[in-house]
Amino acid sequence: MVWSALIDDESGVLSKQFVRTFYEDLTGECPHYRAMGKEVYRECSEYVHGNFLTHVALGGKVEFQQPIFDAWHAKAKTIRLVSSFALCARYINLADAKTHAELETVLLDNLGHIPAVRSILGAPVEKTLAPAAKSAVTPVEKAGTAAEKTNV
Amino acid sequence: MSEFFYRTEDIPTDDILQYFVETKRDREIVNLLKARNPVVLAGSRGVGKSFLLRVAESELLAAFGKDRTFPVYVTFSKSSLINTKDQLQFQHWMLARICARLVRALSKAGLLGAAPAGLSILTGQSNAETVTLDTPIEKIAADFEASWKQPLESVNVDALPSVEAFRDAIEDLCGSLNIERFIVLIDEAAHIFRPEQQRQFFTLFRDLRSPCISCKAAVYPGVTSYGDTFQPFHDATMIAFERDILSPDYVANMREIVEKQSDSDIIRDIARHGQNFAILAYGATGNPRVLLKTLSRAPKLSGQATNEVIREYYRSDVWSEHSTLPDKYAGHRILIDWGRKFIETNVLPDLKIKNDAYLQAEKASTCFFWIHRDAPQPVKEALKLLSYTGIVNEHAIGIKATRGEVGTRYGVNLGCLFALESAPTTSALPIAQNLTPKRMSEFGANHSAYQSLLTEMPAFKEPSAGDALQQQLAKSIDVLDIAYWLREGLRKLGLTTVGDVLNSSEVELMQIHYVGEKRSRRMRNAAMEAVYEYLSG
Repeated sequence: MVWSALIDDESGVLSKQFVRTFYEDLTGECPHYRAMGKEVYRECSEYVHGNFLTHVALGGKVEFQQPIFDAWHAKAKTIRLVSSFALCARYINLADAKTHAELETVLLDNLGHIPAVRSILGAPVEKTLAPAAKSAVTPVEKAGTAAEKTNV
Repeated sequence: MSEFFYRTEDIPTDDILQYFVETKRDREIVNLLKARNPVVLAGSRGVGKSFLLRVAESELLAAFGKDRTFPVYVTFSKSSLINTKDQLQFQHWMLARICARLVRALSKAGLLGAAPAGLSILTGQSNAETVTLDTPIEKIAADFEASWKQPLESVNVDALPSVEAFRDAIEDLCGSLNIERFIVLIDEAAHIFRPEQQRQFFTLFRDLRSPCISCKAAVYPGVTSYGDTFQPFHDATMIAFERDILSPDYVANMREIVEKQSDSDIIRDIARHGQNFAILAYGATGNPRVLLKTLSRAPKLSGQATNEVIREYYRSDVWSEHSTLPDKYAGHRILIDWGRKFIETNVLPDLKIKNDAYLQAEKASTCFFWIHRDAPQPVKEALKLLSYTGIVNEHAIGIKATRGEVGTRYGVNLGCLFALESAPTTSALPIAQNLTPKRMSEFGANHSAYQSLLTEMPAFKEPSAGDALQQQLAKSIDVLDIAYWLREGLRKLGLTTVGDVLNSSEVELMQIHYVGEKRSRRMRNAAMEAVYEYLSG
């Protein structure tokens, strides 16, 4: 398995086509997780392949360092988020109620900000304020409301 | 944390296309920039004019082998430094700049192996057997740029070609280098506070029209002194470049722009707090630079940090740029101060009251106001300055309002509107997502809010740019960013103003204790920077 194939814009597991096939409601979100995945992979590979800056940060010693510890955890958090998204996008639609219940905590924890994920897991969805009827403004109404206050 | 690029100038030319987030409108504009017709692209600071010019340049260069259209990017940002007796100083300087940049661009592209026909005209060298880059014409441009040091001296422009000779030379070059057309992309083309330069620029812009050369210019919205011969809409395609906040893709596009230059932590936090990001994106009102600046202050996008940054940035910081303009252009002080007062005490509170009522009644919201076309000239000038700093943007002209009166509709910066909310994270999005241009506050031809401005400034007249420069040079050395003891050293030498430091030699500065070659240069550079900073509006 090759990373570049996995993350490919057109045919990878976070591509629009792929996500649309398995869970259409997440299609709009997938470019962000693809960007996140690409970036975190690049950042991790800088540690593996001996990028100058990461080498300096590691200091060549095997000992506890708070900043490195924090950096590792930040990356792990991002990776967990991307993997949760990939899992959701591919399998959540096919999973049964039992699996949903098992996954509910971890998925809501990570992806609870996405309404489509909340709704499929049966969590309450905050009602987004639907764009008001923009066409409902009639010329007559406009003339009255706008002019009264400020017009000379 | 990632460091964002706030300015296009900081992005290496080869990487430009990598950061490009293409919207339909962007693509249309880039295509117009690459096409034959002259274009004038107007947009406020930080919306991405320079970026689109560089994208057009990169794409043209990449396709040069096939299309034979050669791009030349030139910036006129130093126009504020020019101050000579020459009536046509700007025209001469601009022509010299274009010549110099053209030769450099050709040389960089490796096209000047053997000196082609027509080249000597552009370099000012009679003997053009050998191609060097330090040409007499480059010297003319440099002399003009240094003219603020000794104001009102004249620059010898004998080597400079006439516009006709320039056009002929371009034709010769096209012939000998097998180039179909040159596209000159001019950034910061006309200085907002120097109507004299604007007029000369547009005259030159029109005169340069020929089958072998197309000019494309990026200007600020307030640039409207076109001179005698240039007619907008006839002599160029005029494009108002605003990112449309009413477009359904607006937030997604802004998000992609940010993601292209963020590290994974920021991308993650944006994904988790999408709504807060949307608020910052709307607050920036189509200005990527402002969005990056606000985001870098609240990278975690928590509710509290988002509210704070909206309040701090849009209540004070956004105005600080506007309010420091009078330091540079004293003649505009009354206009600038009145503009701020007008927006803060008339426009914003009125829109807020209306939006509160509209949203409660589940109606569409507004961020628009309308000014009668017969409003006094000083009011219009004040609005021009507000659109230069991006506090307002001109949304549409020739709009009919109540009683069929005609005027201009402006949109006010959404961030400024959000900053009035007690908790923007809960109430800002409904305002932004329900906007309609059909609702607007109207200000008639003789609105009472204009009175304070009219009593102070009954008529508008163009201030002289030379005065502004003199004022800068007369500033105390306290404005220079140098160490205390160095400043004291300068005082002991009797150098008390910025102008004094600039006119002194490095040797003179070395008389201060512990100041040698390097430090003296550094001090003069600091002085020079201070002047640039003040002058390049």
